[in-house]
Amino acid sequence: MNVRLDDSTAMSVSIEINGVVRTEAVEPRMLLVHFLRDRLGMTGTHIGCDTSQCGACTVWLDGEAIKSCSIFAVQADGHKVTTIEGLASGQKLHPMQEAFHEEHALQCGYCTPGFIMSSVSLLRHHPEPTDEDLRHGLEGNICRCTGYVNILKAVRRGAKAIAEADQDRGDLQ
Amino acid sequence: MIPPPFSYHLATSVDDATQALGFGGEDAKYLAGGMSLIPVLKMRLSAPPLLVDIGALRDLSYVRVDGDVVRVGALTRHCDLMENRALREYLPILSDVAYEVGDAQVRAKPFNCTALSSPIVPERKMNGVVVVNCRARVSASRPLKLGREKSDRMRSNFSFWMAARKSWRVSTRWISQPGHSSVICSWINSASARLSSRCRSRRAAGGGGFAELMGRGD
Repeated sequence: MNVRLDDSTAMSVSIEINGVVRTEAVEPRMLLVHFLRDRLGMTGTHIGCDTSQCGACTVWLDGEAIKSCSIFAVQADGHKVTTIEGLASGQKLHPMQEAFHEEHALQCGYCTPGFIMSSVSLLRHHPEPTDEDLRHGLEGNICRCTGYVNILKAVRRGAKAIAEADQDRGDLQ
Repeated sequence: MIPPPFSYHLATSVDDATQALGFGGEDAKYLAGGMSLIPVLKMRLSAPPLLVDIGALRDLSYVRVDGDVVRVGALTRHCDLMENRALREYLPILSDVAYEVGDAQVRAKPFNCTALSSPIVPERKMNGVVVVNCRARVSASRPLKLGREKSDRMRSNFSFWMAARKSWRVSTRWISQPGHSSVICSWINSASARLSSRCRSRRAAGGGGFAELMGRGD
């Protein structure tokens, strides 16, 4: 067994981020959110509370929404991470981004990337979410500006848009 | 916030994990979901020299119905408990409680049977853990020495919370044996804030051990 007790040793990690494999040497204690922001300069993922309550740092790990402030980069080695930067296709916003824009679901916008990552992940489990699904599913994200009303409106709108896009895709095939 | 430095070992098997933990001395810890441990490290309440990551042991993630016994692996995620059809049929209370734990992002991480293996359950993260007529088998790198005092304290913590939910039966037995320990109980609701504050004086936090739960439906 190869257990090295040397906490200063940098370890090599390869993480596929938004479809591109990034290989970096990191200390084991480096959090995924710091890896994204400080190493890769991907500052769309925000740090709000830093104690895993607020959800501003939400990204997908292998397609599931998680809080990147509560996972080490070494734990993501060999896995796929999707950040808010990976949602849009070129200049075309993701339907959920579009819906947040249309419904004015943000004021300062700090929590928005996390909300959008959580919302799209939620819809994969509940394509036709009830109000209970939405409120329960988004309780890991905190917004201090909007009072959540417009956020819920946006997610409902986004859900509809995503369902229609899926339907169109199905019709074409 | 930046956690203190530590060495990291990615375990390839349960044996590898328990052996590796032995290398790290008394303060080495397991890392599964990290939803308890990582915030504790960030607040510098703990500084283990070694973390043994058991997150890749996928064969510890399962829900199996075997006759009248339901087995839940140590690394099963709360969201898997919520959505598991067999569990919904045989032990719906486990699915229902999983639904109330933490938030969606927390439920997507392995839960490491935190309430059993860790005396600190951060507020909000773990709203409830229910163990139904359950036996937990804990893998350990060294015999778990659970003296009467510690056993009684753990039991009183669990009982305290069970008593708080009057609709639930209060009955626990804590059995300590050399090499492994078992918790056998009817219902456990070890919850959030007060359990956390009662246990805060204890050194261990998160990453305590991992256990398979075996529950029998009523």
